[in-house]
Amino acid sequence: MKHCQNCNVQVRTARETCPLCQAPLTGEGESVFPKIKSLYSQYTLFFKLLILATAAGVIVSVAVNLMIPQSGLWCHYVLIGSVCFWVLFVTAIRRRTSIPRGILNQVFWICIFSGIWDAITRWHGWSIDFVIPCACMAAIVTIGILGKVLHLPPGEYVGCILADAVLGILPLIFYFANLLHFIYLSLSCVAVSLIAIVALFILEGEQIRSDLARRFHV
Amino acid sequence: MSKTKNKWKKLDNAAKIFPSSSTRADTHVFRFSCELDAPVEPSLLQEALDETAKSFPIFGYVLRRGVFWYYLEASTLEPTVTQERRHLCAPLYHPTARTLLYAVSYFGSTVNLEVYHVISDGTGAMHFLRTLIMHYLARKNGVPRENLGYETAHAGMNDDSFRRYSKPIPMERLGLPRSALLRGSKLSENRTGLIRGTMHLAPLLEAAHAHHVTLTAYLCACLLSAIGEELSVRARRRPVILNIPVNLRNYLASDSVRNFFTPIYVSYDFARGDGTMPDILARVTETFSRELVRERLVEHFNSLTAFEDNIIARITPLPIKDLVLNHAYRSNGKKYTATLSNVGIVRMPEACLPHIRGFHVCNATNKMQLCVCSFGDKISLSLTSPYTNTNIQRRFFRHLQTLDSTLCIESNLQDDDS
Repeated sequence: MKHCQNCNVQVRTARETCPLCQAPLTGEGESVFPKIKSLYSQYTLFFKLLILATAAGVIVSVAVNLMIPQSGLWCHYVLIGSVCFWVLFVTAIRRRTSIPRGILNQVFWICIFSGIWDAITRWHGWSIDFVIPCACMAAIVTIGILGKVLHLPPGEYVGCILADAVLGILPLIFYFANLLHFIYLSLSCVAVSLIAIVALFILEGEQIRSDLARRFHV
Repeated sequence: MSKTKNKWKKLDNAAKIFPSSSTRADTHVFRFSCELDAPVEPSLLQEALDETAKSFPIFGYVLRRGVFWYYLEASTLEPTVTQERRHLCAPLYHPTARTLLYAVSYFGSTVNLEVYHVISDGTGAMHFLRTLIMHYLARKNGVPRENLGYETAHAGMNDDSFRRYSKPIPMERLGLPRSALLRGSKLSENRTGLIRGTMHLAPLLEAAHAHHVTLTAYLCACLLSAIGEELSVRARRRPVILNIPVNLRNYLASDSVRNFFTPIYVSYDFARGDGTMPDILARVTETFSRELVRERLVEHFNSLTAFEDNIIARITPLPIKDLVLNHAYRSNGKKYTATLSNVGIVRMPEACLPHIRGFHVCNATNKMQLCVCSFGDKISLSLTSPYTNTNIQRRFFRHLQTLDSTLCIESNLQDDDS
């Protein structure tokens, strides 16, 4: 037990100084609390370098673009690309503990980003013809298989399939709005989504109802 | 099909504010520790934990986000005992991960139980720790298992007792003035600094009884006085206000291990009063006798349950609710300077006593907080604070040292923290 002359108290610590008055302690002491490593040291440097690299990339491309204006305006692609990368990267990391939620989030952002890229590169319709239906279908099938193979509790993935299937019905809007050049994938996606929804209500009806009840309780 | 399938619970009334207002700096995690007479054996502690977790089903729930409210969902996650390697009261709830809302760790001969305030309050967590220690000592030292004075596996254990006692009457807002606030540079990485004093209970009780007040009232006055003396002249323009959570189980029958408390506020104005102990004590006693009445306490939490019953509040989507509740929590935070929470006497079966050196309790907070519990003839006083400055702690403990010269100080602060 150490002792502080100033405060006249016993101090149980491995410290050199009194926690109350910072005066030097006398005597022998033991640790009551562990020394804990800094939280931020482990991953921060990696992330900081990655952010720095992205920022540098964007700034350099703007500068180069301004130096050679005859090459046309292209530096905004680098900027939007960086934003897309970071959104996908951060959602992937944040959702790493739940694979179904992770897939659902990625699909959502992929649909949005493909639409944006298609729009800014002179709309060809590839996003709604191919990317969105393929992503939705792939997600429904993948989450379904993973849920069964990994024996996830139904509460973990059933809701995700449902949300994905609802997203997968959206191509029907593009179909009726006559936006599609290639209808087969979109209609297959709608069909797969509808089958998934029907299957969920038949096979996991109780789970779905209870899921909705708790998620939407007021 | 697993047993836990589709079991879920709404948050209790007091817990509703916690998820929305939890930050890295204010984690709403509190810690109960028990110091044993010998180094902890992790494998035995794990077995004891598995056994304990079975009789506290609510501790197996995880927190999820709904569209309108957070809710608790039963999980099959198993708790694991780890060596203490996280900061004191570090966050336990991570919005994107499905994790248990409590953790058991050990360091040397100390067992720590950290609990996220959403699932339980001090009383519930203390039941858990006492049961855990009893099961551990039963394995290690062969002490007999006894009933610890509450009903395990009782239906009332998972009750939301606020619901049972609240009446649908609207209440006027608490007309509290803004209080003097502590300021200063904070510890790095949002850590909570703990300075803990352990002393004999008798001299403290004597001092309290000499002034004809209760122990809590006396400690309340000590803390008010220590804060008052350290306040700058500018800050003294506002009163120093202590937030004191009251365990409602002492006033309204409840076996619940979930939250069942409501705060009362004790205020002292150093600009008007003379700041002497008798004057502060008179003010504290007066407030205690006015506020610590069943009807007053029920009024307090009725105003909160009124929010919960308001239809507009209920159908507001969760992200907006998060903002509103967080703002309400922050602005309510301006109405008190520090918190004092007395968990009371910890009782253990006779056979366990020789193996236990003491119990401690502390809380992570963005304010200063004094947490008190007593065990046997000793009392443990933990002052936590996010600030590097320890002047208030020094005044507080130096005063207690005049009552008991064997006062022993422990701290998680390192030499380079101040």
